[in-house]
Amino acid sequence: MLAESTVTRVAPVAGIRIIHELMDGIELEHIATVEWRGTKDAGRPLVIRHEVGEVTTRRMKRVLDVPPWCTFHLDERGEPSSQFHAVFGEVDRLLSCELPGSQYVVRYAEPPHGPVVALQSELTAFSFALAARGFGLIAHSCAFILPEGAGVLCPGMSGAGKTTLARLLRDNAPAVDLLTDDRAIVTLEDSLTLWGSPWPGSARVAGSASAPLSAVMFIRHGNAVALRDVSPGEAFRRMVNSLSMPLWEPARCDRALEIVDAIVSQATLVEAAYPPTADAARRVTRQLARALR
Amino acid sequence: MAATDNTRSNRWRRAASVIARRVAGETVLVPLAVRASDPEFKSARLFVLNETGEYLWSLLDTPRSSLELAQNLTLEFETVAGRAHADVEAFLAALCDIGAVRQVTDAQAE
Repeated sequence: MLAESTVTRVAPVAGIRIIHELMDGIELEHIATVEWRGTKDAGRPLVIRHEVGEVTTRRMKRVLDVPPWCTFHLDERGEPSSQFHAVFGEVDRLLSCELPGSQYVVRYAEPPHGPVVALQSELTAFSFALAARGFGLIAHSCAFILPEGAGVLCPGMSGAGKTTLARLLRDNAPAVDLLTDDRAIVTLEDSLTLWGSPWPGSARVAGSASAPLSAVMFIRHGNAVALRDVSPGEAFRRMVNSLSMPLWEPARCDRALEIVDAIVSQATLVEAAYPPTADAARRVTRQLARALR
Repeated sequence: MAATDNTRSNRWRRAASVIARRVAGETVLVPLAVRASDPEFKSARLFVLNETGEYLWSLLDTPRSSLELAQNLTLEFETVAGRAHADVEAFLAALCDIGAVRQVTDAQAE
């Protein structure tokens, strides 16, 4: 007998449609989500089933703690799971893999008290699926497309200035197509492609366009606008901690490193120093466009 | 276990829990996630090998004692013996610390 379920579809992200199957009366929270138009649909979907059930990591190997948020485990097949802790009073829940790259389940220890925010489980499941498919990486990054069509990735951890840059460009450089202020996706098939995502930061930027990845621009505060070249080695060391690396499995980690190598080998690599002013934002994009010609 | 706790005849080889890859023209070691209580560990810990590190890493494809490694280093880079031994001990201790090498018994080495 089939259990009654509700299905919520998220428009494709980097070509991958996300389907939430909601069991046991679970509802998703939609109020806090951004408008996401979606990319083209280009492959098999990612299905995330939400259900109430036993949350156990027996027979799993604990591999990574990210206190206080979650703990990563590997199941007997070596597939990753993430146990999300009840930091803000949510119900304990475990994201685990049913079919690598395609089907994941979020199991809640008890019925949630209200609609659940799927951001954390959706982002993590997407990251697991990307790694399993060897398709790409999620980058903690601001990203945009220059008027000439070049995709620019600006990686950095919290506090690096991603949100400030996104706001400056949104307000002062209308010809720039903003993709995200927090989570970009880079995929590698025949070539590198830069995508936005439905997982924005506080600037709430969630653009669904995509473009060839042409440049990686590291950002820092400066008193004047200045661009300098960055070596591939320096770029690798500066950006790798901003990327979702599948550190649990050798082949997937190796493929992720291959993608990073492609990024630092093929993209133009620069560091931009600038003061947080409207004019500086425009000048940075103009100088970058010139550097890419 | 520190490499320096062991005699120079103990043998070492690469562990399976580390990935080595050429990235941006450099050899990078990435230990797979095996331990973590620090939020920083949610990201990769990376170790970029210099020229002598790359050479020693290539030798560790098969079990080697620190004495053998130091002798090879001396020949390849014309390093004085004392300096080579110290460099090898430091290199093995660092790799041991991140789980990139493991000690092997004579039976395992054969």
